[in-house]
Amino acid sequence: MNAHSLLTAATAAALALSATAQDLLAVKAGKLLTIGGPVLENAVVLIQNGRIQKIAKAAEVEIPWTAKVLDASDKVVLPTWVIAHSQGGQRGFNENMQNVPWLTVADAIDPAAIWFEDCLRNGVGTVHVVPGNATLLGGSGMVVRPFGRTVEDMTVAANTGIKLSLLATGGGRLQQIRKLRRALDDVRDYVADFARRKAEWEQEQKAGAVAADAKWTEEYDRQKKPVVDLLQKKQRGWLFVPSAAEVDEAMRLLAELDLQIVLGANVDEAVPALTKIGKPVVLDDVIEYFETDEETQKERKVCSAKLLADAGVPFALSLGQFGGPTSYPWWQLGTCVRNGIDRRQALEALTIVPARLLGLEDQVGSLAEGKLGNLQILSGDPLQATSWVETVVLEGEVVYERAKDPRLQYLFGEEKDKPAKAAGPAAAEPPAGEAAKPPTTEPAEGKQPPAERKPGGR
Amino acid sequence: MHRPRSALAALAAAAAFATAANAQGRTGAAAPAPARDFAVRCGTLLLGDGAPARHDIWLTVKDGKVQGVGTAAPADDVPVVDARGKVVMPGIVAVDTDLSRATDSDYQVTPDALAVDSFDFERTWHAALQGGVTTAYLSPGRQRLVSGQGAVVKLAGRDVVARVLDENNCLRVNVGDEALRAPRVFEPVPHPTSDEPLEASRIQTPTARIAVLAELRALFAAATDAVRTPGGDGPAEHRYDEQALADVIARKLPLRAAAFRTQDVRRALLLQQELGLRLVLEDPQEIAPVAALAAAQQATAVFRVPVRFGMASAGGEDRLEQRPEPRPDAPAKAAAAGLRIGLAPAPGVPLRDYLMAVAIAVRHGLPTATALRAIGADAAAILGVDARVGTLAPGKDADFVVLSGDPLAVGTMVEQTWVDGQRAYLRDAGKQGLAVRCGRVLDGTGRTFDRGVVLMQDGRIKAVGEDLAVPFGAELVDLPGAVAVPGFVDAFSHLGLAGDGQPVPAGQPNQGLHEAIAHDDPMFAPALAEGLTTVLVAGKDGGSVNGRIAAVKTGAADHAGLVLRAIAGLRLAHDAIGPDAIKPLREQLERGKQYVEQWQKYDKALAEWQQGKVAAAPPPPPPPPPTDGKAPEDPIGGVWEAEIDIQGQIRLKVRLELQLDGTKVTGTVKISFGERDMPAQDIAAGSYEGGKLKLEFRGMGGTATLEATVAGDTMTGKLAFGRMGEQDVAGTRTSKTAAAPAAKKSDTKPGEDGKPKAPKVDENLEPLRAAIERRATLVVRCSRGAAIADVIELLEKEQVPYVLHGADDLLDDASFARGKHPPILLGPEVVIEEDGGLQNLAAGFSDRDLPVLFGSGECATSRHLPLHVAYAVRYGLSPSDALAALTSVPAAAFKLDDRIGSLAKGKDADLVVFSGDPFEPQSRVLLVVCNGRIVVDHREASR
Repeated sequence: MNAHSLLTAATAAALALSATAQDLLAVKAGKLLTIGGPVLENAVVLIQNGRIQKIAKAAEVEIPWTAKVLDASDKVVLPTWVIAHSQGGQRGFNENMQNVPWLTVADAIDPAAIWFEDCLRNGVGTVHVVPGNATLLGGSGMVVRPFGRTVEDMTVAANTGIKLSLLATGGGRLQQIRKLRRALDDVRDYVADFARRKAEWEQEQKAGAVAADAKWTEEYDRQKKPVVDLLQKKQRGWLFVPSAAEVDEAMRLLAELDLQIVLGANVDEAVPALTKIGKPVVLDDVIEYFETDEETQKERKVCSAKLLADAGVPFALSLGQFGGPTSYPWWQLGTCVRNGIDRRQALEALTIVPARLLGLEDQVGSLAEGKLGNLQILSGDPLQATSWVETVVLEGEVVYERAKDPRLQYLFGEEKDKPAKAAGPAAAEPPAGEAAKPPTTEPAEGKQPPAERKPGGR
Repeated sequence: MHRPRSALAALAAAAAFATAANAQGRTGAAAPAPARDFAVRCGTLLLGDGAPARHDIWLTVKDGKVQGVGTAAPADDVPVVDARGKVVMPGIVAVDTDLSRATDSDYQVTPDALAVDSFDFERTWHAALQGGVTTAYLSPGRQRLVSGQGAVVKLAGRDVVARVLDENNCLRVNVGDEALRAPRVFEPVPHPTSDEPLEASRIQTPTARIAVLAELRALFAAATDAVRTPGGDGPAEHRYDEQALADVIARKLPLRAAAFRTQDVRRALLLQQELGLRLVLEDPQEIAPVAALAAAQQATAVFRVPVRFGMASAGGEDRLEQRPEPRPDAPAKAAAAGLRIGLAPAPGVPLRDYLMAVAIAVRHGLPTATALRAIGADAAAILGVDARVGTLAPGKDADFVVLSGDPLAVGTMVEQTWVDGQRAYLRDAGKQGLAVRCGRVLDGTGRTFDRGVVLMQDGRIKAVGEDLAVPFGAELVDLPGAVAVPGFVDAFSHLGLAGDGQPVPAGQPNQGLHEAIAHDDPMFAPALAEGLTTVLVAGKDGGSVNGRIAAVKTGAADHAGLVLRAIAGLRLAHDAIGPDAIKPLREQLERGKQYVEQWQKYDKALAEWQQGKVAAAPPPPPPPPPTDGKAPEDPIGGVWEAEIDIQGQIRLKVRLELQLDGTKVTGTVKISFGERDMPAQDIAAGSYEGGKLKLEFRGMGGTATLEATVAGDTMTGKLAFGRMGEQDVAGTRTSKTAAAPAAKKSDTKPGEDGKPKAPKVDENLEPLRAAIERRATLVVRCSRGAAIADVIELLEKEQVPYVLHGADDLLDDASFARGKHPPILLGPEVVIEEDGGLQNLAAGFSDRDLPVLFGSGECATSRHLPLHVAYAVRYGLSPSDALAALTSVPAAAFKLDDRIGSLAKGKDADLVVFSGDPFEPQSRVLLVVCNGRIVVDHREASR
C-alpha cells in the first residue's frame, strides 16, 4: 500500500515516518478502552491488513518480529470517534433549491478541507457527511474517513440515505411541513402513475400490441429515484428536527418512512415524545443551554443529553463545525458526565451508538477482533481537557501524529521559527531541505504510484 | 377554605399521574384518562350560554368532563376546589388567535396547508391560559387568497391527540386587500432544457379586486371537476391537494372568509349565495351595512376587538385618506342584526387581555349576555366544537376558569384555568403584590384615609392613600366598611420564650433572644389573630439589670422575617432613693460609653485604613485630648451631628469628627442618607476663627463647603453641595472626645496587614452600646418619684433613649418629669381601682402629655392586650391615643419607626383590618397582614 501518496497537505508530515507501509501493526497500550468490551491494562492490539487480528494482555501475546510496533505503554488507546451526522468538509452545505433529492455530498466533499484535518486532530476516524439543514429533500450523504486525497479514497460507505429537513426556510413551520408532504406526495403520485403505465404496457403486451420479447425499459426518473427508494423503505432518510415543536410531525413521518432523527438544540420539551421513537437519535452539538421561563423570566440550565439519558433514549453526540468548545470530543463527553450521564454511556455516544446508526457496528465504534483497525492514542483520559490525541491509526495505518502536526507546531512553536507573520503554515514556503519537515502544501512524494483501494469497510 | 389540603393533594397526585401516563405523541393511541373527579364550589357560576348567573352552585367533574351542575353538595370524599366568593365560567373559546405563528407562503393558493402543523404543542401557552383561554382557533396564515385550513386545539394537556378538537376546521380565504399583494414567484428548473426552459418570475393573481371572485370560482371549479391532479403551478412542493376546496363545495368544510370592508363582506356573501357554502366571516369590521343580509344567509362572524386604539400610525392621519379603522361597534351591530358572533382580541393584543376586549365590545353596545356567549356557546358553535366546549353542561369538557370577580370588570383576574379537569394555570397572587381597600385606613400617626387603599409588595408598603389605583395583577382585598390600622405592638412580652415544659427564663443582657425564638412558635398565632404583629420580647425581670429586649414579628414566614431587631433595648430597674442613688445606673452607663468609644475608634481607624491612610505616612499626632478640666475648652473638637431635610424628601445625616489645631480644622465628614452611609471624607480645608467654622470637603459628586457659626455645643449655618444647592444646617456636638485621641490609638493595634483589629465584642455591653448609639432603648422600671426624677435627669443628659416602665408617682406629681416627656410603658392592667374609684392610668399619662405604650408582660395572654386598651378607651383614653400607644409610640420609643408603627410608604407591610373601629368591643379582626402576607383571614367567617 502506498498510502502516503494520498496525503493531504496537512497530514503530510504525519505520515512521513511510514516510508514503507507495513501490513502488521502492533499497538502496545498502557490502557486500552475497547468501548465494547473491558478496559485492559498493558494490552496489545495487533492489526493486520487494516483489521484487528488480536487484542490481548501484553503478557499473553508475542508480537511478530515483522510487525511495526507503536509503543503507547504509557498512554490510553481507544477506538476513533464516529460522528453520525455532520455537514463538515463540504464547500457549501446546501443547494439553494430545496427539493433536490438526487444530489450527493460526494460532489461537495473537499478532501483538503481543514475540517477533516481537525477531525484527525480530535481523534475522529469516521464521519457521516450529510447535506445541510436548510433544505427540504437535500440529497444523500456518505460516510467517510477524514483522510485521503480523493473522495473515493475517503469513502467508507456511500449513499447512506437522503437528507430531509423540517427547518423552516421561508413560510415558517407550517409551509415547510406542507412542502415536504407535497414533495413526497408528488413522488407517490409518480410511482402510482409509473406502475399504472407499466401495467398498461404489460396488458398491451399480453394483448399482442407490443412484441412479446420486448422489455419494459423505462426506469424511474433519476431525479425522483432517491425519494422512490425512501418511500419504498429501500433508502433511509436523515430527518432534521429543529425544535420540540416539529417533533410531532417527525413522529408522523417516522411512522411511514425509515428515518433517522437528527435533533436541533432546543428539544427538551419533547423528550417524552422522543421516548417513543424506539431507536437512537442524533443530538445537536449544543447539548447544554439556558432557557428562559416565560412565566417567571428565570433562566434555567437544560442538558438535553441528560434528559434523553434519563428518559432512556439512546443518543449519538455531534461535534460543532464552527469552532467553539462543542467541536471537541472531550468537551462534549465532559459536558455529559458533568450533567450526570454515565461515563460509559457518554463514550458510547461517540462510538458504538453512531456506528450502529450508520450500520457500521461490525466495522467501527469499538475495538474487537475482526473490526477495522481504527484507533487513537491519547496522552491521557479522553474526558480530560489536557489530554492530547497523540496518534491516529486508521485501518492499521498511522495517519496522524501530534509530534508532526504542522499546525500545532506552528501554534506552539517559537515565534522566530514562524515563517511569516500573517501566513499560516499552509501558505508558507517549504523550508530548504527535507529534514526540516514542517508542513508543505503538497507532499514531495507526489510522483508515487496511485493509491490502491484499501481493504475492508467499503 | 373547605378541606383545602385533601383536595389539593388529591389533585396534585392526579396531575402527576396524568403527566406520566399521558406523555405520548400524536401518533400514539390515547391512554385511558386517569380518574380526576372533584367538585368546584362556585360562588357565582356562568354557564357560557348567556343565561343569568347562578349563585352558590356545585360543579362536579368526573374524568375530565362536567358531571353535573347543581345546588346539592357532593359526597364527603370528593375533593373540593373552593371558589366561594369567586366567579366560575367556561374556559374561553378563542374564535381567532395568532397562536399558530403561521407565516404565509409566497404562493397564493395553499388549501392543503394545515394550521395545526404550525402549532407548538410542547410549549406552555402562559399568556393565553392567564387570560382564561382554553380552546383556540389556529389560523393557517392571513395574507394569501387561499391560506389553508384552520384548526381548533386545546391549550393545555399532555395528550396531543386529545388536544386537537378539529384538524380541518375550515378553509380560510381572503377576499380583502391583503390577498392582492402576493409576491411574484420565481420557479427555476434544476437543469433547464429547451423542453423545460428557465422562465422569468411570474405574477400571481388576483392583483385587483376585480379578479378575486373569479379566481376563487375558478379554483372551486377546478377542484370539483373529474380530473384529480394536484392544483397549482411550479415545483411539486408548491402544488396543492384540492380536496379541501372540494369539501367546501360539498359543505363538509366551512369557508372562512377574511373581509374587512363592506364591499369585501358583500363579495363573500355573493360567493356564499352562488356556491351554497357555509360561511364564517373573519373580522368583518365594516359589516354594518350588510349585516342583515349576512344574517339572512345564516353566515356567522368572528370579530377581533382592539384594546389599545390608535397606536398603529400615531400622527400619520390624513383627512382625505380613508384608512380602514377598526370598528369596536361592529360586533354589536352584527349581533343586533341577528348574526351569530364570536369575539377575540385584535392582533397584537396579548391573550391575557381577552376579557378586556370583550368588555370593550360591550362598551360599544353589545349586550353582556351576547358578549359572554360570543366567547362561550356561540364561539364554540361557530367553530363547530360546541359538542365539547363552550358551555358547562353535563358531558362537556371540564374546561373552566375561576375569576376574582365579574368577568368584564376592569380589575378582574383569572385566578385559575382548568382544562379537561386539570389545572393548567394558577395565578401566583403574592408576586404582584397585595392591595387592601377599606372603608377607613388609620395610618397610626393620626391621619385617616376614607376609602383608603394600602398597596403592599415584597413585604413592604408601596403606597397608602385614598382611591389609589390597584396595580394589574395585585390581589385586591376589598372590605368596605372595615377599618385598617397598623399592626399592633406589644411593648413588653415574653412571647416565644416559653418552651415545652419550661417557663420563661430570667432575662440577661447577653442573651441572643432572637436566636432562641422560632418563627413558627405556636404561641404566636393567637396573638397574631388579635392583631399583634410585633412583640418586644424580654426574659423575666430580676435584679437591677434585667434582660435584653428583642423585637420580633409574630407572623413571619421564616426566621429572617422574624427578627425585626436583635437588640431593641435593655431592661433595667431603678427605684433607690437617696444621695447619689443613681450612681449604679450612671456607672453602668459609663462602662457602656467606654465600650462605645472603643468601637468608634475602631470604626475610624478602619475607615482610614480602607482609604489607604494607614499605609501612607503616619498622621501627625493630634493634640492630647482634654482629659482634665485644666485643658482649655476646645470649641470645635469632637463629634458633631446634624440633620438636613431637603424639601421634605431626602434626609441627610452629617457627622463631623473635628480636631482643632490653631485655627486649622482637620477631621472627617461622614454623610448618610436613609440606610446608606457614604464613606467618611477627609476635610480638605478647614478653619475656625472667631466662632466661624469653615470646612471644605469632597462629597456628593463635587466639592462641598460648610459654613457655620458655633455657639457652645451647637452650630448653625449653611452646607453647599455642588448640585444640591445650599441647605440650612443645625448641628449639635454629641461628644467632645471622639475625635480619636492619638494616645489611645494603641487600643486598636493594627493587624499584620495594617488593618485595625476590632475590639472584643462584649455581649453584656452590646445592648448598652446600642442604646448609647441610639439604636435601642433603655426600659427602666421605676415607681418612686425621686428615682424617676434621677433617671430622667441622667438619661436626658446622656441623650440615651429610654422608656419608663410603671412610673406610678409621675401620675400623682408630674413635676418629677422635670418638664420632659418620657414615654411610659403600662400594662396590661391600665384601669385600676384605687381608693374606691377607678383610675385610668393610660388616660392619666396621656393627659399629662406623656406618650403611653402598652406591654402585656405576658406570654400566652399577650393576645388580650388590645382588649385591655379597649377597656382603657371605655374609661376615657382617646381612641387616637390608644391607637398610637399600640403602634407609633412603641415604634418610635424603640427606634423601630423606620420599619413599623405606621402605614406609610417603605414601612413593613403589617396591618390589621377590623370590622369596625379597632377599640369597639364588638369589632372583629377580619384580616391580619404581616410582612406582606395575609396571615389571618376571617373574612369568610364574618360573611
